Amino acid sequence: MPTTVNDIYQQVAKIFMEDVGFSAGTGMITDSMFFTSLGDVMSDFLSRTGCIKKLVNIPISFGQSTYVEPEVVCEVQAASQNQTFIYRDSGFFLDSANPQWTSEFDQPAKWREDENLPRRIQLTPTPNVDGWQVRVSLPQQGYGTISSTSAAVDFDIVADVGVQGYGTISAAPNGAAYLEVLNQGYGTIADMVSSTGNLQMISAVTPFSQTQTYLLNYLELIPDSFTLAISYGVAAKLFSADSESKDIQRSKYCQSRYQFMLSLVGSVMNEVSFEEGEEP
Amino acid sequence: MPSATVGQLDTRVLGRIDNNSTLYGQSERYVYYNEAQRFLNIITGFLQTTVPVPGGAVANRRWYDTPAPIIIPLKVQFSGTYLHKSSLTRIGQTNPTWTQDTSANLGYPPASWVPVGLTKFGLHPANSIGGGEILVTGIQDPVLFTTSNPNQVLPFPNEYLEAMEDLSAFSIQLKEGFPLFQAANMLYQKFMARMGTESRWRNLSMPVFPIERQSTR
Repeated sequence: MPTTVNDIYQQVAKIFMEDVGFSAGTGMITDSMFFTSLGDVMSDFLSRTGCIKKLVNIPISFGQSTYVEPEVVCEVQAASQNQTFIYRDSGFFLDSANPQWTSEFDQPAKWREDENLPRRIQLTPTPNVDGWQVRVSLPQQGYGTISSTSAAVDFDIVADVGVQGYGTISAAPNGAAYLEVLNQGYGTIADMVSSTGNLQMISAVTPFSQTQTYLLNYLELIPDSFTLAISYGVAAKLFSADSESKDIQRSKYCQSRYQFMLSLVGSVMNEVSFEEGEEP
Repeated sequence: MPSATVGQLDTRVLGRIDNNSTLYGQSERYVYYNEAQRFLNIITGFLQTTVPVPGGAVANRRWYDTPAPIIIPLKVQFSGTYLHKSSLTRIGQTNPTWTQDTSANLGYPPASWVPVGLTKFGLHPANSIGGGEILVTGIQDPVLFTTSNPNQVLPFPNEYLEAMEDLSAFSIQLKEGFPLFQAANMLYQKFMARMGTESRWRNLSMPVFPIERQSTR
């Protein structure tokens, strides 16, 4: 049974002796404080462990070297362009190796994130073609079936509780795809971006929604076995908040349990993600 | 052979908390038993299993989800052969076109697997002919204890009953005021000291216990 926001809520509320819930109890801690802390801790856990990764495609455009990464992307681990691996580089090395690198046009071979605004990825050489996108016709409004084409892949469609979405998305054309919808599944499917011809990033991600406000929601992205980290992280924040419940010692203890989980999952990721003998 | 039950664990933990089943309700206690078994399982990697990817290989598909109940994938087999584990960077450097390579254009079946976080992995090359069996070996999520089944057997060897008792009895007392909670911290230190020798993860360092002594003056 997947862990819900309510599971964490109940556990943390009982730690604070608020068995009937925060807002219904003494009110020293509010539900709003809980939800804010939960969102913060989930984002922190996912960005620091990098244990959940997704494939994210961005359409490339002729003459445009810098692209904005989607909100959920927190660290790009690998990238490919037109389904060919491109190397990570840095401004310093690019400047040193080829001072004119910003004025070259060709198929991108390298990428960098440094010396840019946050969540920007820059390709070099600058793309000399437009990437390929599937435009969904406006009247379809996301209600119908996207019929197509090749092997099934994952899509991210975030909807509120009870919203089941309309229609079936059966597959994506030409490799892994990133689908972005507007208005929680009811609106227009803006674009489908194929990995063919475009930039594909494999990156650690954070939740779609920074604020978790529905108790019945499943805890987004966090594997069930790691949810204990979230409970302690939230409790650490609430114990350190300025309120009648403030307790620095217990906050420190909860923080240490949270930190240990970060360290544990970090060790797991070091062993799982790398080849034997490869430097992390 | 594990034989200790969660009911026995419950009896032992209650003994540590003055049999106070009013302050520490049954459902609350079970939350901590489940937390303890998950925590112990991640550190030790005790519960490992091999399960197939549902549906097997799909023609020309390279990305697959880690099948439930595996939470940490460790090995992958394709059609009875263990695959070499690579990484996203290493395979990109050695095979720049790996996200379009297939067994048809390379001439050999999947030979490597690439973890993508804990929940996905890629095969290289993708199998051009669907239907091959993909088996994933890894650490699995334990079956959770439920209050309706106190006879459920703990999944660990019996000698870990005491470790689970220590951790559960300590963690549940977090709701107590600090002095009482502090007094119970030896249980946690004992648990973590044991885990220091049982961890399967090479780089894991065990923390120094953080609770500071409060002056009694």
